[in-house]
Amino acid sequence: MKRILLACSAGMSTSMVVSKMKKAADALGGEEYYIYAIPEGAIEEELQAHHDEVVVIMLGPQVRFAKRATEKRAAPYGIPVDVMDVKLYGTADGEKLLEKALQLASQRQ
Amino acid sequence: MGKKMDKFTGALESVAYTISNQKHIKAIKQSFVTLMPVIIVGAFAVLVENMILDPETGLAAFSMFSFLAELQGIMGAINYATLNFITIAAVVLIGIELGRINGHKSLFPGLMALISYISVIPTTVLLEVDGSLQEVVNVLAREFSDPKSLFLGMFIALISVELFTWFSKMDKLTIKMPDSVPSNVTTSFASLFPSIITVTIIASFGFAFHRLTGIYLHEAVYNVIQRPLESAIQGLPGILLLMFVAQFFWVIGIHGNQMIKPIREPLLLGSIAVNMNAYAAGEEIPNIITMPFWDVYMNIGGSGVTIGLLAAIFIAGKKQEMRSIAKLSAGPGVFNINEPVIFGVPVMLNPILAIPFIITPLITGTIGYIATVIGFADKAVVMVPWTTPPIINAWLSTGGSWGAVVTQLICIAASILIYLPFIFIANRTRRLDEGNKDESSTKIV
Repeated sequence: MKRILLACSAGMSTSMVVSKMKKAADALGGEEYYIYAIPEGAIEEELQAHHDEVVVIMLGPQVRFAKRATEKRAAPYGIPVDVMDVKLYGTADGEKLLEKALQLASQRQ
Repeated sequence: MGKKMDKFTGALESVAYTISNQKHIKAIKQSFVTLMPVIIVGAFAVLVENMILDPETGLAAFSMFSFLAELQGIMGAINYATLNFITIAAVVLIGIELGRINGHKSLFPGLMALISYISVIPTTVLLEVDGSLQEVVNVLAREFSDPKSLFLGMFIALISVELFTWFSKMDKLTIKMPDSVPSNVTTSFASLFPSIITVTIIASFGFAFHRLTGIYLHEAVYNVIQRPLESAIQGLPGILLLMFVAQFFWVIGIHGNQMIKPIREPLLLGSIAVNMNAYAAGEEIPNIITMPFWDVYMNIGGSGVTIGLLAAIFIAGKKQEMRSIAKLSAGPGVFNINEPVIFGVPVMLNPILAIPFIITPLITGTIGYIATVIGFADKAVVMVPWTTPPIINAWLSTGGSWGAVVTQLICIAASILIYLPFIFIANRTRRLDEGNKDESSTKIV
């Protein structure tokens, strides 16, 4: 299954966003995605294991300093990386974040 | 926001980038993440020992359950294997992590770090037997496996793996094999010379250091680096400064704890491990400032003691948007997760709420410190995960001190009082504030 990978500091604060995005995905129907959150430090291992399934990586705004490093890691697999919008993240706006994730995923090389 | 502000946050962001990508810092941070379950397992053993198996303080005090005291050895063994062996675990993990960052495919750098570490510590102890000092050989004294040698272990792990990597990259040092030799055999020889040279250098350095200065390397590192850092953090100003730095990063929306972790984790996890050991052994508890102290008094509801902010919004907040975010944040807040508060309310780049956000943990930390010093609240003796809800974390981490629970409640009350006036201001500055918010969010994304 295609994976939408979210990452923050411990993977916990983003879990609320994850559940909202899942709900939005269910409501949307269509293709099923595995949406989940991990700690930012675990991205590399996650990519080694699942780079063929991950279609987009979205970082929590609090770890946006990790963007450059993550991009470097994801580039060989052509996986787009972005930082989640502060407002959408803070309000856990699952619909808009999912929309953004799918839009990015469609750019995957 | 003005241009100056942009420049300022930009500078802080690049600091954050540098800190989080410096490889040695990263290796240490990552290792302590992996190490956390070890500490929690140790905490479990300490809790069970004291609350159940101990014939004076535990369940075993009742004659009906006195047989439980017989089982103390089990928890004692777990305690030794975890809390008293934390430095050894840290050395191996840091070696593995740095090795991975340096591009080694195998886990060997972890072993390299361990070998190097053991090679610089003395393996004999002087023991008094019948009034005369006897030298006992071939022992690993506790001070080399417990947190007392944590910094020496960290340094040796980093240095040895760096040396090993450096030598591994030298072509001259790799043993060339004819093409007919299978590649697996060739790689098995590849790390041979680099390992020999690395360990020889480290062991010789430890040896020479002792010969030339008369003091052991571990004593030097402990006295010159670890102890001054420990005493700095054990004093109120030290811990408040650390918290201030973390809060400062949070205000621009960067995970502040991630920034201070490399220094906080070794010191505060070390100090709670020491406390847990003392508690299990029935000795006097040495450290006031520990990881649970941070979580119980300075991080209630998340960074910035935002439990107070949420309560203040429920009491006095007039903005509908703010109230709905507060409602959304209450659930995660119980587990000390507050990103929705920071990014949703928002606290980030909010000149009004930044003030209480920074000062509240400093004040509640001071309250907790004073309460502990005067003995009203007990010192923390058990590590609890940071996601443990308030009240429960105060009670559990102090081994059941109601004084600590009351102190935490006072801290919560104080946090509400500090945040309240700022909510009144935020109510009045509605338009101005919202203007800022839109502008800042477009800029950051």
